[in-house]
Amino acid sequence: MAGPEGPAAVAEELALIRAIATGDKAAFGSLYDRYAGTVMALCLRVLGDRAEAEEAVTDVFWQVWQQAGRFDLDRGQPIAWLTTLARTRAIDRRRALARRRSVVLPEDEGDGSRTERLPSSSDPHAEAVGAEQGERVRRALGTLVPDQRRAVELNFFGGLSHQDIAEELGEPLGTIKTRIRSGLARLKESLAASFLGEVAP
Amino acid sequence: MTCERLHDVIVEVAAGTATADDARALRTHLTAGCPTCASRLAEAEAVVGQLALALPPVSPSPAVRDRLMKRVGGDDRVVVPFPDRPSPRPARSPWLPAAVAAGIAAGLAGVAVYVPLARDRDALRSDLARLDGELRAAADTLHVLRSPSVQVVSLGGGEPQPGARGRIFWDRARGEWRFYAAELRPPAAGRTYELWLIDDQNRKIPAGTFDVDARGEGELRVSLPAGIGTIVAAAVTDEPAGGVPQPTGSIHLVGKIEPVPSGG
Repeated sequence: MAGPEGPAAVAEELALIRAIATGDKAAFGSLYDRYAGTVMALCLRVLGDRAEAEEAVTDVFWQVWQQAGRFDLDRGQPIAWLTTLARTRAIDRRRALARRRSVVLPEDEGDGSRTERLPSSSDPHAEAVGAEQGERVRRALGTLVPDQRRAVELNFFGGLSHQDIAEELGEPLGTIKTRIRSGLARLKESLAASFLGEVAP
Repeated sequence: MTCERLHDVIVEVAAGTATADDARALRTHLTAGCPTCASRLAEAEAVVGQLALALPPVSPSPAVRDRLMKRVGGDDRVVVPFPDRPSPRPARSPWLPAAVAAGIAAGLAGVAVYVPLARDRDALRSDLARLDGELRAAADTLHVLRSPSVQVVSLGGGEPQPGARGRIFWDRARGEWRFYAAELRPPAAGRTYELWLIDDQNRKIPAGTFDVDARGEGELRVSLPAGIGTIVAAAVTDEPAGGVPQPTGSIHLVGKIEPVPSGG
């Protein structure tokens, strides 16, 4: 199964993971250079704090180094594994922080639109590398109706649970669940379509 | 829980926001074997995995890379080669040098930023990275000892040293062995101890060499690749310094490993 990155990119990443599993430090550096920006962006979304996000990025890649041998090469894309690790580590860290102090949610931008706008990149090189793949996914997100998109982004970027989102938006839990589920189904179709080139750029 | 109710759980597991109870319920359900939910989870993870690409990348500070590379550099784990692949390192693919060059360029950028900093600050950072590494190693060991997925294997002394003992903590979830030996004599000059994994085909897979200290204690941390097969025993032999690909010396420690039910 190929994602929007294309099968060649996935094959390269699988080779990197396999090399890391044998203790190849240069391969580890390459994987870091390829995805640290995306992992950082995600951790920053969940944690809302640069220093905390950098700690989470460190945890994620350290885990990659230790567990690359356990990555099931047949299972799927390394990017999916990396972002799953990133979400898990960042959410764990946020929970631990919440126990110590009361910062839980990423910073609100005042008008309640904190997930509607995507932050601009501070790294032109990384931006160029990921631009094409990113554009495909952004187009897919653009096919969601605003309520759907908001809930999906709070769940997958903000790391808020369905329950948290329901409370945050003041809507019934069932409504939120339905919205995210249907949003995800729609994204799946859009991403598959854009990969097959059926959607005009 | 029904598959229909689990559908929402699957979405939250993919998002990383599921509660521990929900995640456990899904795991139990999947372990019991449900192809519908398994493929739903795989699909959700694939879509969610790509979503992050929509976020414009944000570069962490160069210190993060620096710290990680230092920690990785000091990681002295033994990596068990894939049994079907005699060479532990796969051939480099042609794109890799370019990626490595990019990595070096990123490293150089880091150097340029840090040149003006005082030398003692570098030393402090390096101390900190080392302490951080040691702390993590200790935390890792604790994690392994506490983990419910850990199997403990005892090894007894072989003919040359009946009093020697060994113990392996096998973390099946992480694919990792912590091996500890006690009351082993130091090996003869030019010899070393080597640990072996023995699978159900009676293949002996080298898992690293180790030394013993003055108290006769030695240890080894071993990462096992996925798909290594069924390991049924472990043994320690004495071998020429540097180790050998197949055992030649006498057996100093040996232990049988009981199979665990699948899914562990």
